[in-house]
Amino acid sequence: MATSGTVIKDMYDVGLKPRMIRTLLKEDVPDDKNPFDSPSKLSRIISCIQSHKLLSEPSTTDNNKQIERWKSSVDDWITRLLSLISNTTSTPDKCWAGVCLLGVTCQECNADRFLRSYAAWFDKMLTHIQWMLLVGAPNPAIEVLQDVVLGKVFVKPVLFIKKDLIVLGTFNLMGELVRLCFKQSRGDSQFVKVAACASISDLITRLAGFPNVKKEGISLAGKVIQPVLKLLNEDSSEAVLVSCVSNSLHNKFCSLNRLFLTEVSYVNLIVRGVQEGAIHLLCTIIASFPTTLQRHHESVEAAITSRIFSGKFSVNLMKKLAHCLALLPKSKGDEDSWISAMRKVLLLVNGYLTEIFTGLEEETKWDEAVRLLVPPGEVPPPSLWGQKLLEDTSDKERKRSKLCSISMFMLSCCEMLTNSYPVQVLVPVRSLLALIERVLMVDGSLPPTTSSLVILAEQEFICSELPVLHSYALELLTSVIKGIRSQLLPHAAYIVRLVKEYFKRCELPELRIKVYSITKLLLMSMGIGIAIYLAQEVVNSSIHDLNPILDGASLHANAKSEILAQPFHRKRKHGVAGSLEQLHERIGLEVETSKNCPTAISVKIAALEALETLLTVSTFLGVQYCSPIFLANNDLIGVLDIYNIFLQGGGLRSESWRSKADNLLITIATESCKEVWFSDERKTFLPNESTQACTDLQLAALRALLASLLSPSRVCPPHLAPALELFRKGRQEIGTKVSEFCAYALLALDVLIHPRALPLADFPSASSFNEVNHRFPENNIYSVAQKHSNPFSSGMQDTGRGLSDSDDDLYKSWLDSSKETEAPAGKNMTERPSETLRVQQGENIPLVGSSGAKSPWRNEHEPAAASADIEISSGDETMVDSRQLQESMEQHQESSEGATIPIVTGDPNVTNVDWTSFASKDGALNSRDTEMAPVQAVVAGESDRVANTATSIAQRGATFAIDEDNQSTDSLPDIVDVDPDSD
Amino acid sequence: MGKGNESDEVLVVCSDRNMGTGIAIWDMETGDRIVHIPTCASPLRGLLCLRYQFLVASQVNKHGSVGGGAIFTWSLNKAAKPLNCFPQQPLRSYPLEAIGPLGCTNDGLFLAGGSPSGNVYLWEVADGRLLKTWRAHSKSLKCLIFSKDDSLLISGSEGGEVCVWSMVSLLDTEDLESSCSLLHYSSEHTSSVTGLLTTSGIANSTFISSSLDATCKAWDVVSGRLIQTQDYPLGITAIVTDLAEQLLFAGGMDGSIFVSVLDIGLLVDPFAVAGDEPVVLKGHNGSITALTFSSVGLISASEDCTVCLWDVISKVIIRRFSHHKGAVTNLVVIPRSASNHRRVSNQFRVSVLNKCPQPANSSNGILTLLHTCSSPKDHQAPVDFKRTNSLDQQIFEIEQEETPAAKQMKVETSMDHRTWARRMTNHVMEMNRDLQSRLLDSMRIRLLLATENDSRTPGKSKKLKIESPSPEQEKISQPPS
Repeated sequence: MATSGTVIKDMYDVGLKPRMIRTLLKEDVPDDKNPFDSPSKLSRIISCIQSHKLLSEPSTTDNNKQIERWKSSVDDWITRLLSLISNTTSTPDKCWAGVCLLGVTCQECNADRFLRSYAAWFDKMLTHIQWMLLVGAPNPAIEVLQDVVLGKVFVKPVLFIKKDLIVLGTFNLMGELVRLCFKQSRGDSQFVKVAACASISDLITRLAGFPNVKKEGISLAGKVIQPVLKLLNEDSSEAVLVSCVSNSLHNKFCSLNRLFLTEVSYVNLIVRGVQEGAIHLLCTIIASFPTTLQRHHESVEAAITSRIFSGKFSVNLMKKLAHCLALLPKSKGDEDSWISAMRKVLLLVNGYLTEIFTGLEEETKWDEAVRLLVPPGEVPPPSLWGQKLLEDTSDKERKRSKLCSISMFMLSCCEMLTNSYPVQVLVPVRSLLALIERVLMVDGSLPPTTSSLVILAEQEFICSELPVLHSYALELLTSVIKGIRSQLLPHAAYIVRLVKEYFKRCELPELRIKVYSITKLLLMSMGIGIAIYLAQEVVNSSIHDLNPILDGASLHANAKSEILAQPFHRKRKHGVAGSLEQLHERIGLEVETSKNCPTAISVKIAALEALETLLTVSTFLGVQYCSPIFLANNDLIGVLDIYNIFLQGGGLRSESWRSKADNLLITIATESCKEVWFSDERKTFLPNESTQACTDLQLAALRALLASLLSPSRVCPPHLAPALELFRKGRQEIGTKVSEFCAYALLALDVLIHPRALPLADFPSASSFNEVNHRFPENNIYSVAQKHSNPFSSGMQDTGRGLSDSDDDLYKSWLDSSKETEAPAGKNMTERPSETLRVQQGENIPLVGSSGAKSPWRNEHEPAAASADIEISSGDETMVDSRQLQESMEQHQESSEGATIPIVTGDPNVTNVDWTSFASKDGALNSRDTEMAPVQAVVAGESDRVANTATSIAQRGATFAIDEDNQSTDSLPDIVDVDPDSD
Repeated sequence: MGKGNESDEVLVVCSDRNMGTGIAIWDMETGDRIVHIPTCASPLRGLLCLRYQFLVASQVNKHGSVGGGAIFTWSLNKAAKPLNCFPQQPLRSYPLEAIGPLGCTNDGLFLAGGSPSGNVYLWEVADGRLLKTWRAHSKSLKCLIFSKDDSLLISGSEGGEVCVWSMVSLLDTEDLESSCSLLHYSSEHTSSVTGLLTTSGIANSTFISSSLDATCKAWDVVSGRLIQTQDYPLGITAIVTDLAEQLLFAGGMDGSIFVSVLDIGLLVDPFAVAGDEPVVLKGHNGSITALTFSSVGLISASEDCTVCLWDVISKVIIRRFSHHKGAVTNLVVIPRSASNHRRVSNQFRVSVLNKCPQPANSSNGILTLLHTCSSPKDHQAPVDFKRTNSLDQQIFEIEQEETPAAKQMKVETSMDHRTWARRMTNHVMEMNRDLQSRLLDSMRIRLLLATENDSRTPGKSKKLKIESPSPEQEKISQPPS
């Protein structure tokens, strides 16, 4: 601890690292003396090492003391680990900790160190796997055990040596012996072995990253294969042992037998753990150094397949085996090995199926499969991997294990199709598709010709197992589509027919989900061409699955959707959207006729997703209905209605439903948002899950809304303003998915709101445009000062002009009044913007309107006045802006008649009332007056800006605004005189 | 080649004058000829690049030759090896008829060729199978193009007909009677179709056709509806869009190129006026034969034997190449890397295109497939994954102390502890026994001494014997202390 005296700068200090390593070694890492109390310590050590990068010291050659210290501490670390691993006296847990830590070290240590010492580490770890080799060798312990059982115990001198055993009672003796037996046969604790497998696979993976040590890597990996194969075959050798011992034990001691059996089952469990590790290691080797396996190809294949055939493992382990089998052809990496592997698997599956489907399908299927798989002139092999292709068994267990193997081999097929492969290969598409069809078309019904042959029980058995088979067959179809992609085109029609046919037959939800996902895949990979054929089917099936009324029962059972459904019922009663009720009725009528069983929500998701893909792929329907609308089952009505229109419209291209769909979507979105944002009490009462569902629905609704806004249509989307409002509000929910999506939606809508006709290149003129942009902030104050009057001026401008035409005096008098009121109005605004807005209404309208209308005239027609001041010249541009804005405002107000008419008439009272009502409603969105929303929003925005401007004006001093006014008022009479033809 | 940083692309040109002209690959920056491939003369729209790995060219039918046509295929990987000469022989396929225009799917897996008689041939490139031949038009085929998703084939004929075919039903081998593979048919164009373009703008759903009748028409792929017609002052011989599909360039018969904004979605309104006078690029003297777009700009070829590279925005010619050996009929832009980069294994292969469709069951319908080979170093990606995976497994093991293996380890550890404890116990026992025997010995000695000394008091000694050793021990141990 030479460094203990030095001061540590911070947590990144290099000097800290060796100290930390030493502390770890001192306190946490076990050694010969210190016991290893808790494995949780190990995870702490690992996380410490990984987060501080303790083991990856920089490999500089200069004599930096700190680095040297670090290096030496890492050296110590490794010495300790190696001593833990190789020391025979250390307990298994310490050994295990050592192996685990060495695995981490393999990943973490710096490259130089790794390359220097990986071979030594590898050997150390390999010994822990290699203990296995004893299995094959004659095991003295087994002999002893047999002798014990046979009563020869005391003759054998071996036992006398084991003094302790004699002291123990007979049972104890036996138990000990059995354990000894297993321990000797396997050498190490299984846990250590698993860790060793994992660590070795880490080491090999790291090694594969160095291209210059490929040869060494291959030789290392080659050393592992034999032990790994032993591990894989282990339980078969153990099974021999177990059976021999248990047979002899059986008659002698019943209680002993029990003890023994528990031990055996226990051992089996452990063995599987080790085999998982072994399989993992094998996969790593294939992935890293595929050529290693070239020589062992046959034996590895045999080992894997025998494991699959045994069918004794958990599904996960079986899947791993299938994965491994699929990787195996890579070891050779040529076309032939892939094809032969695929052919073998297909032959085997077909052979097994022939036996299982006896009586349920035509007899010719096997011959057909052989015709497709075996080149003409050759005969199919009678057996593969030691298993007969065709055999008759009535044993149910045997059949079950065969079914299991079929599933696994199909899975292996899937993997082979979707994994990468270095060269082009011939894929037997026809026989793959034939196999898929063969499985999918068996539904357990007896064909009329063969009914007598099959007994009922057999049929029952097959029916119970069929869903699994179908599921794997669909999986295989998915992989075929994924793997072959557009080359599948010549077979697309076949697949379409298959899918259509299966859609009609299939009723189980899981299978339907799969079929939907296949449809999606097909649509994605082959686009419009296939959509033409599948559209009808997808739509029909989705309607079938999305049918809301028939599955009411199932939904009621589902608390989530019930809760969700409730508020919607309520809302609907309030008459938010009258059309929805109509839809309800209509669909009710239509639905009564069809017969269906309740469908699971997940199927609906799948259905909607497939439909969505259909819509995305082919823009027959511009709107994409977002999948999770399903959450509120009443919304399905809406979705359904769209499908109905979509169907009734024929030709898949009806535009009439668009407005309805848009209406519906904005309603749903608004409501779902209200649901989440405005009902806190609901949130607290609902369990977490349903709040989640609520937000999911909201997200879905917003997504659908965005789609409806973005999808191409003839007119500008009518609900843009309220939708924007929703998105803006949603964006404020920071940290939620909704907020993320809303931000994205606003970005996407930006193009819609501000259509860009960007120039193709950055012309010189464009730079001036940029300048304008730069000037915007400065101008803002001014332009806004002008703009703040826009809501009124837009209406009043006309009146003002009209008046000036008819009566100059009146106009002048208004102008006079402007002189008086301008300054105080400004002051008022600083204090209470919203009120002054109202106050101004009556009094200031003419002034504002006239000034707004006037100033551009002056600027345009009197350059002399304009040039007098910079601010005014800049105002030139902004005035144009404000004018445009005024025009747009006029349009808005024209559209919302209720609001504008009073303004146009200039009746101060009416205006007042209306504006107040606006002010009170400000922000509260009501679906009834969505038309108003834009105006409203603008008004709200304006009032804010009025406040801003007013304050800024006040801050800047009166110079700016008042000067302006003075000038304008001064020059006003001239303008009117000079420009008589201004109208 | 590192000189021009812009010229990541090279230009492939060919002519139809005679076989000697061949194909030239030009550096777009300098105009130098990088590679020359002899013996090729392709008709209009008869040159393709498959996956940037192969050049496929249909050959003009020489007068006097027997009916059959020819399609040559060159591998670009090998093409680059010798810079100037090109010893590699092309893969020569001889279809039944002369093939004019070619079309290939975007993934380069299917190749379609149209004959002057109106027949279309559809091959699978990888194994050369002729998948289908059918009579598409009554007149000579001029254009063939696949939709962006490769599911539709669009063909245009000399008679102005435009047809949309569904690939799915075209290739449906089993169900022949119900297939109506012709989706749409139109004869809106009054003269020969000269160009077809699919746009990816609005989800694959539109395509544009140009014709010698001085119009370009935009169509809806799915419905076959005519969306828009753009009129030009003269017949259009070639069309192309820029890479972003914003502008449409239409080459005219007099060598001018009309530029218009591609706004199919917006101008659906029939009342909308076509707008301003279209921008015209002028620089060619003869009819435009081919147009293409590179990252640098528009490239046009004309019958005046020149090829121009345009700056579209400023409407000037950046570079002008002349092709002395004849009018250029085909222009293809390929990335430079395609002609230089040699892969270790030829992942994608092509075969000689078959002359006749093969009976389906002779090859058992087995299909050649370019497998999902992600990259040459395709086991680099899973490496990291597995590393974390095995680490996860370790941590998982640490956490899962309930697994039998973990239990086993515990048992074994405790067994070891037990043996150790037993050993220790034995040791202690041993020591104890030793101690006891010593004690007994010393006791005996004492007793003996006592009996010797105090033989008169036997009662005392009896008492002592009965007492337990421990107090005795204490008693005995007391004296030394």
